[in-house]
Amino acid sequence: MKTKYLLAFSAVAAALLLPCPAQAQCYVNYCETFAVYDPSSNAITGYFSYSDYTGTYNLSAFAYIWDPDGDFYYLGGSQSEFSAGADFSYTPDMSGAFTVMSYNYFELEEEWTFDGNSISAATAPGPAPLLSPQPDIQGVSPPGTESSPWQAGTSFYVGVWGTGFGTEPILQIQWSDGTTYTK
Amino acid sequence: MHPRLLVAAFLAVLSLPAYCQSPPATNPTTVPEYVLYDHFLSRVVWFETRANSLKAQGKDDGFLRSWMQQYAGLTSQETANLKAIAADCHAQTSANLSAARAVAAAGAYTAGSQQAQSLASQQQQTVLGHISQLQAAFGAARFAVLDRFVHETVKILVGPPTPLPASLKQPPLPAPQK
Repeated sequence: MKTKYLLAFSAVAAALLLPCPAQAQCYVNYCETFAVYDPSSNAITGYFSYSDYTGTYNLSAFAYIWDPDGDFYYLGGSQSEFSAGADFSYTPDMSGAFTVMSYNYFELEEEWTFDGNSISAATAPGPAPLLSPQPDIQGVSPPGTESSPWQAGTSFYVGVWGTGFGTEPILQIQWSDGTTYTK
Repeated sequence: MHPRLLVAAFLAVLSLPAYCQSPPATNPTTVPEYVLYDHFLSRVVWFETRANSLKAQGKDDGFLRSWMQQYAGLTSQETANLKAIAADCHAQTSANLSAARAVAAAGAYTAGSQQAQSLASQQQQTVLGHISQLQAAFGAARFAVLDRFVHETVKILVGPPTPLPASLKQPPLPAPQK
């Protein structure tokens, strides 16, 4: 009889002490990542945050951004009680869909546990124009040369006027053989 | 074997998955309304803060300044109300957190303590109070529009990790500092 009780208690104890399955994970906190493309400043700007609202854990969050080629850049990170996260601003150097992902950890009894990630995306149209506003050619001199083909051997001064011109370069002319002249 | 012991052993084995998946604290399967709105109102404040920063640098702040109104489909008055309520809520929740962090830094804060529960409750009540302010300012019909926008656009994750798309290179994952 004692043996039976012992076996029964052993079964209960074994069930309670068995290691948890590897795939069992605990997700206890809240994470959010937000990103928008701001055409005004030509930047992908946003934030990532991770919080538990009670201060139960020490939290850590950090994030990367991936360009359309799949290359990544570190955006930043932080570690704190109650909440962790950061704002970011990234100037895209190509057009396409950018992905932002934050990685979140919480610390319990000096052990850091991965607590999932949060992901967001923003689409950038491409690098900002060199000049803003863009140049607007309103006239050329002599009249009509804006649309007529250049002819070899012809030599005359060209006047261009309009708005939005920068200082570098002042004027760029492409010759019929593809040669580019800059003044 | 005693039948009761057999049943106990059987139940213990059955409860194993739940035992293993139980987190040390709460295990939210759905995001509470106050958490959702806390994030949304923080986002409203974030837009204003970023817009102010751009303006201070002499840059165009129009896009960020008008984002919420444009995408949530709000009137100018509704946007002004939303920004004011969000700023007030954020100021209060930030003050709560700062006070709690100061207590924690002094070593007087214990996780799971009554003080911790009080903070959680305080944060919750602060946000819920500001949701009520939004409802009063917007009216039922317009608040429903805002509420739909909040639920559609604030994506707070509490589930399993999102796998990194295959086209993206895997970055180094630095371990948090001890």
